[in-house]
Amino acid sequence: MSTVSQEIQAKINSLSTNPEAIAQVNNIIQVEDQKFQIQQEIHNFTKLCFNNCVNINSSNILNPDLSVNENQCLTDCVGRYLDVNLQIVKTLQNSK
Amino acid sequence: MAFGGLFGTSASSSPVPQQPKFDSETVATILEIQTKVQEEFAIGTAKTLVDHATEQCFTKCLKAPYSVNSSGLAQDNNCVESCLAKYLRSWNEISKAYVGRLQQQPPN
Repeated sequence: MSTVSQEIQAKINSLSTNPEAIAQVNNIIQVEDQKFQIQQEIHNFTKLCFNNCVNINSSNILNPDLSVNENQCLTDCVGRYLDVNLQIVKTLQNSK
Repeated sequence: MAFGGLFGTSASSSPVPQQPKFDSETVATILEIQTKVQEEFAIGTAKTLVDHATEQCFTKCLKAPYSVNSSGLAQDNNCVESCLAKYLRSWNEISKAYVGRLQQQPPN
């Protein structure tokens, strides 16, 4: 979602005679977009790792808390995922 | 999605330029745009959370064939409630782990 709404675009257009203001706005959008992308990654990790680490069964079905093991699994899940990500990048770089 | 950004070298947002002083109307417009942009991204983030939590809790709390009669609906609702609580706690845990990892090991 790196495109902004028409409403915002219209406001940006109203600054079009002022290139420095436009540059400032572009900067703001870039920073916000970067924050958004990182949050999206956290969303994707959460979905993946929750699916694999958190079990809902008859004994914990009403418990809103995570167990110690579940917490550890979530943390390790992110860590190993990033390890794999790094390894894949390296492997692709070396095979060039 | 090789991670870059957040703490990357060139990522620090540009310092507010000293030279160009905008007139107050322009400043107001820029601030207005900033608020709008933040709102739109926040809506996008919330939507993703709702989508993902729905999918996870649907999968973990309900069983096929999904007829209303086949499972106690009250129990489903309770399950979904605690599932969402677990999901939000997971989000926080993952967020901490991810940011911690980015800090201890700068990209490249």
